[in-house]
Amino acid sequence: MMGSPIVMILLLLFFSAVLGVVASCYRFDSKKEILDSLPRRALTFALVVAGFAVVAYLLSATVLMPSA
Amino acid sequence: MITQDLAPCESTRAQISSTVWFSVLIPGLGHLLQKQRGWALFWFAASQFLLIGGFYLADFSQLDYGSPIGIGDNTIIYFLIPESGNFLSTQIFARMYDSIESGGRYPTEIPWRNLGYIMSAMSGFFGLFSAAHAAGMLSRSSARSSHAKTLMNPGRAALLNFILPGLGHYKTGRKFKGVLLGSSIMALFIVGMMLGNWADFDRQRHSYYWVGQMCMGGSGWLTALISEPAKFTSVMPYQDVGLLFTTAAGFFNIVASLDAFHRAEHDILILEPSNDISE
Repeated sequence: MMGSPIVMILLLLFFSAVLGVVASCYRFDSKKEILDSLPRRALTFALVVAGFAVVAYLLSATVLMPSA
Repeated sequence: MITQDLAPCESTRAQISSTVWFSVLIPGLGHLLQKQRGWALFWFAASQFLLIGGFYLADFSQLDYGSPIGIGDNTIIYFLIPESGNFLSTQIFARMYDSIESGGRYPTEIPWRNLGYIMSAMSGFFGLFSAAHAAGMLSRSSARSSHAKTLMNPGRAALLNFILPGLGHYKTGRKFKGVLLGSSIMALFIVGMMLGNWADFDRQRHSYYWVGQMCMGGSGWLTALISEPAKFTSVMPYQDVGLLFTTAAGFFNIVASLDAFHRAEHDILILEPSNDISE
């Protein structure tokens, strides 16, 4: 069963935020350093996963389409 | 502040290494080698009670989720995670008993099997954390600073963090980090459970993901017990996302526990005269 793309994007952003928290807390110990590095790490992960999703979608709609 | 360069001295590292291996082989053995008889008895008794009780309650059906590794027909290691954290006992039981599927029965016939799975898994994690606790004791006892000996055992910080995400950091004075880590990991786990309608924590459905979910520690084990009666009544649109979230939350909790150990050990090492990097 396929979910809504909007919900999937929101879930990706939520997961990315948690991943950013864990990665930043593992790297740094002070509140300022953690908060400063958190958005960059979370956004990088979300953009990379979204990029892979776009590539997978384009491939599935073109060369990997069974009827192509 | 650079923390990666701080490490115990060479002789302590060698002792820690052997302590870890002995503790995983038989939980409590690492403590016994340090002449900590009380702790040795505690870790040994807790781990073996949980393993034997878990196997008994689940009628050894845990062995269905493992596999023998060896040469030809000769089994060298029985690969069963996470029970193998209590290594030697798991290997002995895997050789002494067969899984019930070999006898033609089906695991769902066993009423207490889920409790048994949780107990035997706890035994494996106890084995691993007994190693962390013994290693932390060594780090602390080898410190020359008298103040360092009063600080929290890094293994205890890791264990606290494993029982409740963020607690290890909180107890070592990192309150912001503890609250942020704990709330984030718990939120990921709870959202994941909700997406799976609280029914997706089942060893029989997906045994490998279950190991990751069990890494949530105390909060995860409690959730597994409470949510046991929940069953799927339909295919949920985001249940696979929920499975990914709960499993990832478990692995994040392990990362947080490792960090709690590392930070608590750093607190001890920074007090060593030879590691003074304040200038």
